[in-house]
Amino acid sequence: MASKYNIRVQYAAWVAVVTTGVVLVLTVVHLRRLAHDQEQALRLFAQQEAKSVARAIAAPVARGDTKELVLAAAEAVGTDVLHLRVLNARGEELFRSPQVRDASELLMVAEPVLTAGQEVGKVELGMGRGRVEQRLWSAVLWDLGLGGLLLLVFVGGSVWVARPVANSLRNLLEYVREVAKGQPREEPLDTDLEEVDAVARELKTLMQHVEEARQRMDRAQKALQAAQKEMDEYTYVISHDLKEPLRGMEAFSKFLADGYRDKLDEEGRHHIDVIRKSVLRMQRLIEDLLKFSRLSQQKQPMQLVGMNTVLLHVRVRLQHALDAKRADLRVDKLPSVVCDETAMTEVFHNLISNAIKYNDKPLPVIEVGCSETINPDTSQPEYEFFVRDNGIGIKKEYFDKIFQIFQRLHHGEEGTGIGLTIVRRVIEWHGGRVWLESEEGKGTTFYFTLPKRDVPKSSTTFYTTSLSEKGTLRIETPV
Amino acid sequence: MVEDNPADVEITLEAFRRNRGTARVSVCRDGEEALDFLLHRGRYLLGLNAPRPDMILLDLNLPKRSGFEILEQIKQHDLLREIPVIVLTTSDRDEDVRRCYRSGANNYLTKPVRFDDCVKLVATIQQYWLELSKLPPR
Repeated sequence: MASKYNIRVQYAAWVAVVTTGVVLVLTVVHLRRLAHDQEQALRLFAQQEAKSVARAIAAPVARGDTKELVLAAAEAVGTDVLHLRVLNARGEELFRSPQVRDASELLMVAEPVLTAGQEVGKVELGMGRGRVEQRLWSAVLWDLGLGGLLLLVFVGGSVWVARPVANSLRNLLEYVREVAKGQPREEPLDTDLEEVDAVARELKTLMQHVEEARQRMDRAQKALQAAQKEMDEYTYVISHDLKEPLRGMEAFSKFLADGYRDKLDEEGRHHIDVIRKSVLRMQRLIEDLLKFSRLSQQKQPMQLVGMNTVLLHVRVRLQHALDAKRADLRVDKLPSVVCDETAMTEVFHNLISNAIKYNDKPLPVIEVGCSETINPDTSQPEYEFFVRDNGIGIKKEYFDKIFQIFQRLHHGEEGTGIGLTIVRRVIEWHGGRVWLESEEGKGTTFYFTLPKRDVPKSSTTFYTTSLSEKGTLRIETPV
Repeated sequence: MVEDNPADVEITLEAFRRNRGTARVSVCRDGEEALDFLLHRGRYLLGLNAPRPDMILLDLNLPKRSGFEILEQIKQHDLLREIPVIVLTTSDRDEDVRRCYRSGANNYLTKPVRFDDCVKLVATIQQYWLELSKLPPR
């Protein structure tokens, strides 16, 4: 059943339809039977009436005395006889009552007129059906009245029967709403129906399972976070420990290069140059690794940050590179977002410096913008930022690889390939996503989202950071 | 100078040399030795080979006793507390920096990886601490 009415209406409707149908069928059957019986009775009555008329008019008919005949007939007929016709033995009409009604409406009977066993004529008699019709009409009224009464009783009864079910279901609904809100009442649900109580009990058990699963997930998440933190700490410590021997290699290879260059032959000098280059590369790797772990180690409290200010900082830091490539950095009006300012600065810095670096156009153009969207998974509002360039583009097969640590697509360029790893890490810890669209030779657009959060109440900022219009002065004022 | 890594010792000394520094540098190889040196204990009992320094260059990552401990000991000692202590270490962790200044460090510097930067740093130390600054009288 497709309709969505409550149980009482459904019950009542079904019972009403069925009861009405049954009453109508029974009424029709009853009336047909009644009509048949009444017809039989009327016919019998008419025959008797005809017989008594025939007896009364036997003598006048035999004599052919019409006048006498009419008198005798008038005395003999009952009130329901509406038509009378008398014929003599030869079939000639002796008397005919005036036509008062269509003959088809009358019940016609014929009876021979007998005198001493000899047929001397014939009487035709038409009986009105008025009484039968009256009977039938009253039967119809009775049947329908009784049917209506039955209908009322049945519909009322069905509503009454549905009442405990409806009430129990309503209680169950209330209970489910409480459970859904996470605040179910302490005492078990007590309704008129045992089955509904059982459903509520099972629901409670189910919710307990859900709660346990949620707790397990929480624990796992905490463990994961702890492991991640430990991992970052580990990275930090190791990078630092690696720095120490590196200092020695750097200094002493330099001593060799500076003090002993003349004493070495061509090949020896080449070896030392390779050592020096390797040391410098190692140093950059370690520095980047440190930067990476420091970002997650030294998270700042989230606060409302004006993204245009962040972009101003980034522009200042990259001004040299922008000028060198004659790159045009176009920044739309951006919103203020609750985030870690240092980390977000790093994100834009990395994306924009990549956009400058990997650009072969005479006039590189880099656009930064933002729109508000709805997260398709969580249905929560979020900001979608983009950094678009008209650079060399990235092959689709490398879309995933570029986010991995120390993965680079271009040799000979400076950089270790940690920038996009930092971008992804920062965006993910902010609860956002990062992806890209790119066409080789035409350019790349990096997108990332940041969830729209409420401004944290507890962590009002310790410093307000501002930047003058030209982006040259950074003032930090204690609040 | 309190420094356990011989390479680091040599790097710093070479940096002083390249700056034509005139400072006399005594090197202690761990925290215990540093305290002996300052307090004239153990092999420095007579104090002949352990002059009172004008300035202490302190590494944090040391065997036996950490740089933090040495720093705290110095800054709690009645006579030694006035000697400027410059922490020179690889660590740039916020908590390490904060802890050192809280314990009374006079300066906190991180060791540069590149030797050229090291030379510049030592030049700055020489100029600021040994030439410009007025040090406590002996």
